[in-house]
Amino acid sequence: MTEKSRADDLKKGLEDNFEDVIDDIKVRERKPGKKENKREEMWIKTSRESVKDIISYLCDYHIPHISVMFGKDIGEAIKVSYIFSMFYGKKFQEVSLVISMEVPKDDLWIESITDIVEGALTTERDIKEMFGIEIRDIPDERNVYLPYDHPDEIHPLRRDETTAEMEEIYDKEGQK
Amino acid sequence: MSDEDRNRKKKEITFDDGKDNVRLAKNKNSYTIPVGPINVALHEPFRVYFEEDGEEIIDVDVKPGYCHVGMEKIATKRNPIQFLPISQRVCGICSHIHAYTFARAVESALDIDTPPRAQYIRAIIAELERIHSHLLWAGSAAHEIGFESLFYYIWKERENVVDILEYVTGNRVNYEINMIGGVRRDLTKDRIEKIRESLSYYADIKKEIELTIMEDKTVKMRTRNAGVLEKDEAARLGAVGPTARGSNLRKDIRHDQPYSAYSDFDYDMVMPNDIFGETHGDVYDRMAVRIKEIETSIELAKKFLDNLPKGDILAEEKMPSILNQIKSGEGEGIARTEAPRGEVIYYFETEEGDENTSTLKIKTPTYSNLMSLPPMFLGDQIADIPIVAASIDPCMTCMDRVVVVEGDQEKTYSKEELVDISKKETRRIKNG
Repeated sequence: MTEKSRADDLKKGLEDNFEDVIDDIKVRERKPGKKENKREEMWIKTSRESVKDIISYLCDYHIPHISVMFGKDIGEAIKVSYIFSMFYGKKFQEVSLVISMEVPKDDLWIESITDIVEGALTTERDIKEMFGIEIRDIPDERNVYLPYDHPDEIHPLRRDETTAEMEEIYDKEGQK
Repeated sequence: MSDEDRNRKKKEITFDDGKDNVRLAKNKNSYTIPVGPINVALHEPFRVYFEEDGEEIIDVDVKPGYCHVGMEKIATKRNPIQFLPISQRVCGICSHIHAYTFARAVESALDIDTPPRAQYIRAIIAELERIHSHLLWAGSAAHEIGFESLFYYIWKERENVVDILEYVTGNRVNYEINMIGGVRRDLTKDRIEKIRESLSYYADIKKEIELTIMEDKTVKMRTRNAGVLEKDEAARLGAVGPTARGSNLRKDIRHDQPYSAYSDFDYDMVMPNDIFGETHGDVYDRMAVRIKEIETSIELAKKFLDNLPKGDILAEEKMPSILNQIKSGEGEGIARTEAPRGEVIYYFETEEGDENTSTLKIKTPTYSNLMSLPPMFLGDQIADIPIVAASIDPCMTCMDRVVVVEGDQEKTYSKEELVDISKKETRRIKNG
């Protein structure tokens, strides 16, 4: 295990370069097992306008592995998060990153990151269909899990859609 | 297929967005072969359309989602203890790893310290499960290339570890050994003894398994240079597990960011370069990684047993106290675990005053490996489709509705209608 933490190094780099656009950045340590060797997670809060620049910056460090994107309906906005891992391949060096941002429901779009992280396509299609978020410049906008004939107005993980509204749409589309 | 060949193919193609929303690159002599969602060559439902020029695959379109059950939504209606058994149903083969990862995510969000003994027991079960999963895969792979006798031989050998898992946990699958804050069953002396016997059994036959699979001429001819995934493609497309390692991409959470008992030991991941001195990134390499990992699992499980700490197996024994802790606490946490197929991630969030899960996200290895399928297929032949598809060890988690197409008529059945149909069918069978 190295003495110098990769997470602290990365954190400093992010703070120096994105001081104005990162709302919060913290490093969490976990110490599993009997020997309690350290493992690190970094949690970042930012805005949708800056997230792509931050991910591009990560690419300069090391090819980030995109694990998944997920969302949460928080009322007026959808909280969208990316989980990445960096510095894989070396013992104890890997750092997990969770980058979150809030996207208002009345202006519900984010930019696709597939031009810099190609592997993000499946997860972007997933979050698009489940929350109805427009992913700008996504190379493939088709549903991934939902059937292709699923009504565009219904998004299974949104909390502001009622069953009655959904039934009305299913009726209209002849899918009763 | 080289980049040059791929670019040459792309120049000849046209783009088509057909009736079934299929997107395939075509040329004037090519034709389309639909495979799935239900097909004898696929063990689970997913739909793949292949565009063929003669025998050669020139484009692929993959669509999962045929049995999505909405686990994440189900979780928000239950507290974590109620969801724990459900999390195991995400996968029938590596069910322990899902409950293990979910429990770790909850513990991370609520800062629950799992006793070291429980961390070791979880890791021991995970390694036994890996032996069972890799053998199961090897048997299925033999079946995919039409080698039925090898399939039966491997599955016969797999029974031993499944019996031990049943002896130790009480179940052949869905082991129910995890609990928030630890495990539900301790490893007693006789259970440890049985596990050691099983590990010795596999240590004795591992060479035979390796020789039977890896040295077999038929296996090698069918899998060498089939389904090639280059290292840079694996990295760009986010491949995980043996699929990534088979392309010489060093990625294994047990090594890179060790959790539980793994952080106490030196473990080096299995790479084709270390086995053969070179990497082809093909089905044979992915197979070799899995077969060799059986050996590393035996060694790891032995180390965990030799160093099993004494002490409690649960952070809190009384269930009402755990529930209180969940209800009064708040926070978010992630857990990453190396399943037999690759990285599993659970994100868990809970809010103060509510014992139900606020948000859950599950990421399975096949989700990450799905995008690696098209480059593997390109340039290969029709006959290689089953074994290449199987080489990522796909495991589809999907959805609860079904669309039936009869002629030009489409009808989407609701859950209630499907229940009615199944009741009628059961009555019809009963009444002859």
